[in-house]
Amino acid sequence: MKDNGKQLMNDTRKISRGMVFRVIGGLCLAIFLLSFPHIFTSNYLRNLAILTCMWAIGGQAWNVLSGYGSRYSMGHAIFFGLGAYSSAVLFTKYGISPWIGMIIGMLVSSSISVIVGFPTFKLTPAYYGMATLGFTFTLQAVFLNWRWVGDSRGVFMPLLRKSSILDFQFANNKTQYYYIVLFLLVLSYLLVYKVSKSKLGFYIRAMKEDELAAQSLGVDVMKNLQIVGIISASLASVAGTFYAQYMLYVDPMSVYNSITSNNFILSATLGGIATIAGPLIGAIIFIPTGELIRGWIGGSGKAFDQMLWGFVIILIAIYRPSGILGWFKEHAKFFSGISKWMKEPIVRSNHDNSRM
Amino acid sequence: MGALYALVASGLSLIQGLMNIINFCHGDLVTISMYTSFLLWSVFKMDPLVSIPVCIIVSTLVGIATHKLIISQVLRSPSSFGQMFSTYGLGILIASTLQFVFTPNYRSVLNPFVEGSISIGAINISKPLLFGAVGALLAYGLCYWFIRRTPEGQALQATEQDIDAAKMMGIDTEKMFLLGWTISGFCVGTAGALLTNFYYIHPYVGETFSNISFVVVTLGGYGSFEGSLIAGLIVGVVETISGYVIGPQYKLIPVYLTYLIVLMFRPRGLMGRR
Repeated sequence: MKDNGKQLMNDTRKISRGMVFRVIGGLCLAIFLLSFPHIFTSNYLRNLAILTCMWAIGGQAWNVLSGYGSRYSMGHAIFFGLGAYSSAVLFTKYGISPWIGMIIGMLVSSSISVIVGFPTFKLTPAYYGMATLGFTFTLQAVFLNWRWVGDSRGVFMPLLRKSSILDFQFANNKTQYYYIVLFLLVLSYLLVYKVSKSKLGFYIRAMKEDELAAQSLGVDVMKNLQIVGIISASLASVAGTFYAQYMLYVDPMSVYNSITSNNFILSATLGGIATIAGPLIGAIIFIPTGELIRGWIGGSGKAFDQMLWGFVIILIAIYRPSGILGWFKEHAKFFSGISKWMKEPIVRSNHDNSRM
Repeated sequence: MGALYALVASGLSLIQGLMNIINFCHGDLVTISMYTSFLLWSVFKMDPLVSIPVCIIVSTLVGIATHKLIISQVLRSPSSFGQMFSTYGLGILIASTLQFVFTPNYRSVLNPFVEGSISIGAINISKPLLFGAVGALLAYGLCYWFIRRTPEGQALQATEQDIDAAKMMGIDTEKMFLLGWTISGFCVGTAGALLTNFYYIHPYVGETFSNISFVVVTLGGYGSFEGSLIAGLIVGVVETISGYVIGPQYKLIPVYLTYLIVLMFRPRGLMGRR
């Protein structure tokens, strides 16, 4: 939204309908997002919004490596869990602010990503998926038995009576959590947007198309994949830290779990991989739906939502690997009329160069 | 345990070599066969050893259905994304459906036909484990004989090596795919029924077997039938020894570390081609 505004200022010679719409739409969206917890005062809806934003960050993390990049991760729960645990443990044991814990979690996740990536990135995409899948269960076993991090009982955050942004705890109200997660969301999406427009973004997309060709043109495949892996792991770990501080509780079985990894995969693939907005759209669709299904049909033991998601993943994989945004692109003929109308300038300039 | 890993993994190895895709729902076929065995035991009081044929039929049918409904669709599309995530999604679907039907409780068969343990000298071997190992080796031997010694098996090998050449030689590759799924179902069904004798059953038990099978297949060599036997035994031994040395709760960690080390130094495995 901010970028549109900037573009508008730079490019005052030509104002198309699309720009006006985008700016107005962006402003409306921003106002809506900022005022969301004040419009919907029920804590249930706020909780849904917070979880959606959290998994939108997670989906974006997965999307960086597996959407733009070419290595499909089946175990982003590793980084999620490491992020959650590092902030939780540091906060409960040493009283270190979760914001510092978040950064430490990012460092830990990044180093794990490098370690896992080192042997597997040079192989075909499936090996990375299998390695991360196996590593999830390794970490589950380690954390289940590691006394220092609270073994199978997990880590309970101490409840502080007063709200403080430094300690990441707010009594009785979810509004502040919402603003924090929204802030993190905007930050991570800006980061991914920058990455996708940077040299690195073009490199990894070229590698996804044809790795050998990219390599022969002088792209360092290993290095770029590692960088992308680090970005992806850090973002996932941020989502994990937020999860830990929001739930005030982490345990190995619920974090190092294939269901957690599925959430990453789903929110990215449902919306559309290798797009900026895809993970957000995916999370907006799948988190509330999942919550509703869990509310209507049985509790956590019934796993009806997981059945649905398994089915959805199969359908996406077979029929529409590009997700919902891909559907829009495929039916571009219908939308092109709209976009042409949108692109028509309303204020024509005299020196109309070939900018658009 | 190693022999059972080898049996499960050889089914996976066969499918992966044949179809050239990664089958993420292989462990869930094991789960299905274990639940079949459990169901037969709890409804008809049928011993897990007796229910082996039923398990084989069920897991073969599920495998063939997977092939017809999902994998043959995905094979046409060029993206590796579809090939990986279709079976991954199916794994979730199977596991959660089983959870929906059978609830996530841990279950096990009480009073099976083989029980207790025998002791040779100072070593105590639990009888169900011994039965499992022997049964798995027998089943493995049967598969091996079928693949290496019969004309159908040789046609299967040819398809595995070069699908286009096999087509030109007049081999019905679609039939060979189905045959591959049948053998894989045979391996998985037998393993599942033998496991039911002593292993606990819950909807996500397959994840462990999936992961270990991947380790075994990678260690043994992609698409190598003999390799998966050796690698399966190695993994079983590594698991047992590390369970003894550093504690049973950590026994899977060395196995996964082995996987990473193998990938680092010899990605094609012990006996892999290419």
